[in-house]
Amino acid sequence: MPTIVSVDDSTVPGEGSSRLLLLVSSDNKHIVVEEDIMSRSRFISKQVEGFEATSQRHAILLPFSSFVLNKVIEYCSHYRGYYLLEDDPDAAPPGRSPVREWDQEFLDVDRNMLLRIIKAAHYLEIKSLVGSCARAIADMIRGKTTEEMREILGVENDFTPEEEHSPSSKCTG
Amino acid sequence: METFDAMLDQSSYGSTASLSTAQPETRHAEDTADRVNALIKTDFPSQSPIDNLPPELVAHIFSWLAVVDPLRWKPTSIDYDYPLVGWIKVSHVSQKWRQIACGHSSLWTVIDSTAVGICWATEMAARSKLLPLSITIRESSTPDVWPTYLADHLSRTQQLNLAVFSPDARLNVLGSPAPMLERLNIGSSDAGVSNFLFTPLFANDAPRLHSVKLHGCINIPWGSPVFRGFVCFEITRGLAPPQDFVYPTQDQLLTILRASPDLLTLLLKDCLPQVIAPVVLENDLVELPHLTSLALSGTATDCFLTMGLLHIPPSSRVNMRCRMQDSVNSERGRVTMANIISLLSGHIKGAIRPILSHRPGTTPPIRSLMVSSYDGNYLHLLGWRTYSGDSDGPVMFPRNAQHPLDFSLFLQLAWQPGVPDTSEPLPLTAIERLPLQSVQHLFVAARDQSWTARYWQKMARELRHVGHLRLERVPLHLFLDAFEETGDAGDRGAVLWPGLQSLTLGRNDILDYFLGTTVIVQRLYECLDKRKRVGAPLERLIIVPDIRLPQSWIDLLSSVVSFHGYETEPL
Repeated sequence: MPTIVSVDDSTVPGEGSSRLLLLVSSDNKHIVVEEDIMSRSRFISKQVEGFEATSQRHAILLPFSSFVLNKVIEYCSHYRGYYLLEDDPDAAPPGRSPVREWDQEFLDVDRNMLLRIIKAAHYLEIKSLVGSCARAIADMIRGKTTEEMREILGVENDFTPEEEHSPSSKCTG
Repeated sequence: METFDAMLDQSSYGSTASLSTAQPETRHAEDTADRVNALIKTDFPSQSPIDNLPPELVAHIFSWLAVVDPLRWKPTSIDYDYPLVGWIKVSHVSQKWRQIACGHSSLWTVIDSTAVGICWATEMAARSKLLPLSITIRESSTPDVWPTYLADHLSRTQQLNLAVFSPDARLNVLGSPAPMLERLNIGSSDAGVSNFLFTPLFANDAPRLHSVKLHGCINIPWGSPVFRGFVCFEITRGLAPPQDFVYPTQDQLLTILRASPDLLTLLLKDCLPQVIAPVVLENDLVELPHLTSLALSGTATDCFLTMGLLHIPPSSRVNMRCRMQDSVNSERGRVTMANIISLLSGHIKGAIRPILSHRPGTTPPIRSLMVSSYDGNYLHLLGWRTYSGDSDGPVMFPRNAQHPLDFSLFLQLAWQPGVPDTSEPLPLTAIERLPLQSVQHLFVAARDQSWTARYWQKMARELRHVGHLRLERVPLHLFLDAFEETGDAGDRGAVLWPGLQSLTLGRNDILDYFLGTTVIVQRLYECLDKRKRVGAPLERLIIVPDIRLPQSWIDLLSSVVSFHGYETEPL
C-alpha cells in the first residue's frame, strides 16, 4: 500500500481541468504530475477515486526510485489521451498485438532498468506497459540456451545436476 | 509528519502557490510508510533481479516467449527425451522458473500436436488444468491417436485447427458437443479423398462458435443449427471434386447470413449456390452492416447474383474473382460484365456512415488503381481509397505483392484463352464504367500488345487526374507512341497526362538488353524533352531495375528530368 497524504483544494489555476498528483519515489524525490497523465494506471485511478468525495488532493508514496518513476511517467505522458486496448478494463483481453515502435525505443534500456520498469508497471497496474516490457524481455531470451538465459537475466542455476537434466514433465505444479 | 505543501516544495514540477494548508492523515501515512520502506528494501537486492519479480509477472514474460519462441521438435521420437525446443527451455533455468512454468496453466493451453508430438500434447493438456484450449492437429502425423486425443479434450477446446489428409480420416469425433468452441478451422488439400464433416456437427451443441473456416471439405453442413452468429465465415471448395461437393441452397446461405448480423468477414470460394433467384425487394436483402471484407469466387453470374443478395457498407473490401464463361462479344457476355461492373460501381459510390468517412455522408473515392491485363484473357483491377504512396509521391507497390493490404476493391475476370476476342482492350471497358475519375496513382501491369497509343490516350481521358504512373511489364514502345504524341498543335493540352508528376518504370523491356533498348531510352529522352518544351515537364523519373543502369543512360535522362534509379525496390 502506498502512503496517501490528503490535502484540501482540488483546483490548480493554469492547469486546466486536470488536477495534480504528488508522487513520492523510494529515494524521496517528489514528482508532481497531472492526474490525466497517470490515469492509465489503474492503481493510481483507484487511489484517486477513493478521495473523489472529499475533494482532497493526493500524494502517493511509491516503492521505486525516481529514475524508474520518471520513465513510467514518460510512458504515460507519451500515450496521454491515447486509447490502448490493453488498458481498457472493459475491453476483452487483447491477443498478441504487434509491438509499438515507440515502445521498442523507449524500452531500449539495460536489463536491470527493464526489470525495474516492468515491476513498477505491474505495481501501478499499467497493463500496456507490462505487456511491452514482457515482450521486450521475451525477445532478449528468445532462441537462447538455458545457460544463455541465465547469463542474460542474471539467474542462478540452483538445480542439482540430476534435477537440471530431468525433463520438466516430472516437475510438480 | 509531512504535509503535502512541504512535500510539494521539494517536488520537481509545478507550483505550490495555489495549494492550501495540508491536512495529512498522519497515522495512516506512517503505517503505510513502514510497509513501503520494507518494499523498497526488497527491491532487487540480489544479483538476479528477475527473481524478485512476482511469479505472475515472470509467467507473463513466459507467455510472450511462448508466442515468439513456440514449442517445436523434430518428430524422431514420441518419448519425453527428445530435444524439445522453444520457450519450454525456461523450465530448465532454475527451480523457481520451473515451478512458475509448470504451475501457470495458461502457458500450456496452446497445443500444436504436430510441433510437440502427441505425448507432449497430452502432458500440456494436463498442465493446462481446466482452461480452454487451442488445439492444432495435422491428422496425417498422428492418424491413429488424434481422434482419441481430440475426443478427450473437445469439450474445453476453444479453437480447433485441423489439417486432414488421409482418405479415411475419422472426423466423426466432431459429432461430439463442443460447448467452449469459438473458432473452427479445417483444411484439406487432398483432391482424391472425401473428407466429410460429421452430421450433426458437434451434436448441434456449439453455442459459442462464431468463426468457421473450412477448406476442401466436401459435406459442408449448411443447414446445421450451429451455423449461426458468425463474425467470420469462410468456405473454400479447394480441391474437393465439384461433382461431390455439397453446395448450399440459396435459402440455406441466406439463413446463415441473416442469423449472423455481426458478420465481419465473408468468403465463399467456388461454393456459391448453384441456383440463385435475384432479390427483387430491397427489404429482402441480407443486411450485413458490419462487414469489412467480402470475397466471392465462382462463375461471373453466381458472383453477381450472390453479391446482389447482400446489403453491405461501402467501407467493406470487395474481392470478386469471376470465371467468365461467355465472350464479351456475345450478348450474355456483355450483360454479365455490365452487371458486375454496375454492382461494383454502386458499391464504390455508396454512402458511408459518417464515422467511417473522411467527410460525413460520403465515401472517399478510389485514389489508387492497379490494372493488370495479360494476353487478353485476364483482367485484374485493384483499387484503394487511399494513396499507394505519398499523395504527392510516386506509386509504390511492393514487387510481387498480389494482395497489398487495405485494398477497397479487387475484381478479377478470367476468360478461357481467346474468348474475349474484343476490339477494345478489356481494362478500358471496365474503367469506363466504374467511378474511378479521382484516381491519381495508377499502376499498370500488362503483358498485352493491345495497349496501343490510341488505347493509352483513351485511358488518359478516362483517368484524367493521374499524377503518378507506374508501369510494369508494359510494352514500352507502345506506351511511348502515346507519350511522345503532342498533337498537331504541339501544346501542353495535347500531351498525354499533362499533369503527370512522376513516372516509375519497373520491369519493362527498357531493362532488357535486346537490340533496340538504347532506341527506347533515346525515345524516352526525346519524349521528356518534348514535354518539357511544351510546358508539361515530368518532375521525377524512377527506374527500378534488376541491373545497374549504364551511366550513359543515367546521364542522358538526368539532363531532362530529376532521375532516380534504384538497385532495389524503394520501399
